[in-house]
Amino acid sequence: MYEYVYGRLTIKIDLKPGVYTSYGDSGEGKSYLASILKRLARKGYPVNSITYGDDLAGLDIKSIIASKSIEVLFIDRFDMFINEELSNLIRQQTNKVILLDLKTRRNEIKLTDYYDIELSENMIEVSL
Amino acid sequence: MSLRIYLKKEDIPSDETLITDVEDEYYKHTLPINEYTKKLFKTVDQITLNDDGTLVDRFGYKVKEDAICNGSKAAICVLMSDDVIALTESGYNARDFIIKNLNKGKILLLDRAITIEGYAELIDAIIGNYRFNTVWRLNYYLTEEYEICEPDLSLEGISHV
Repeated sequence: MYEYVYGRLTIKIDLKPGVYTSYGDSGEGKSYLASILKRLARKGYPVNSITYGDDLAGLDIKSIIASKSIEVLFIDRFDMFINEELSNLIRQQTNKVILLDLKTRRNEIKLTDYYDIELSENMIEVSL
Repeated sequence: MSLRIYLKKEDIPSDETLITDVEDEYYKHTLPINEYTKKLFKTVDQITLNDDGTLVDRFGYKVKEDAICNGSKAAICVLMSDDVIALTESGYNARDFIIKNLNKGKILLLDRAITIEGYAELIDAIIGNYRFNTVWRLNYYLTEEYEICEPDLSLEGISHV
């Protein structure tokens, strides 16, 4: 279990290290979680998120994925920039929870399981 | 007018433009405030769109437009754009909302692993030369006929265009 606090929000990630994707509905709070993790990263927490805009901006995505100091990583809008190199790199990560927003091409990733996001007024909970 | 559905990229006419970056396309349009958008945000995002354009989330907090999920942005693009909108990033709930609530616009629907939720709901969707006017008939075509055989026009809910 990983737990972080951001303002009024408690973020609980009740998952073991592995690669997870969501079931496939819109409006679950995926991008919202990604934005919170990005803000936590700026405060020095061992988390981060990447989105399509980062790929377009030329951010060093591979370094973020491979970083040993990150324990939870959210990759948002991954359908827009998934490629073989990133898929292989993700497969190599064994020390972190990687959450994907990926609706297609899931067969290119060795998934551990599916995650579910529960939003309440003061909590974001991610679990199986 | 009907919702035009393409099931393969190759089916899209060469004079049509395919939009794959829905977020980028969304911000080219002004958010319309109407029954469609109010129902969309309520259904998919659990956000209330007020008549003055303000957005309030399910917990009562005001939120900005970027809180809207990509699936809803895609649904807005289908409504507002003359181009074909790829539903690659849309969840099944957003996809279903578009099909069940829009009788205009154009979409590329590649992921058909999960059928559209519903049965007798009326729709107005065209695939190729066929118009579908119920959810169940569209689902039947996609799962039992598409690329397998010619659709059975004796079954209700389908007609030649």
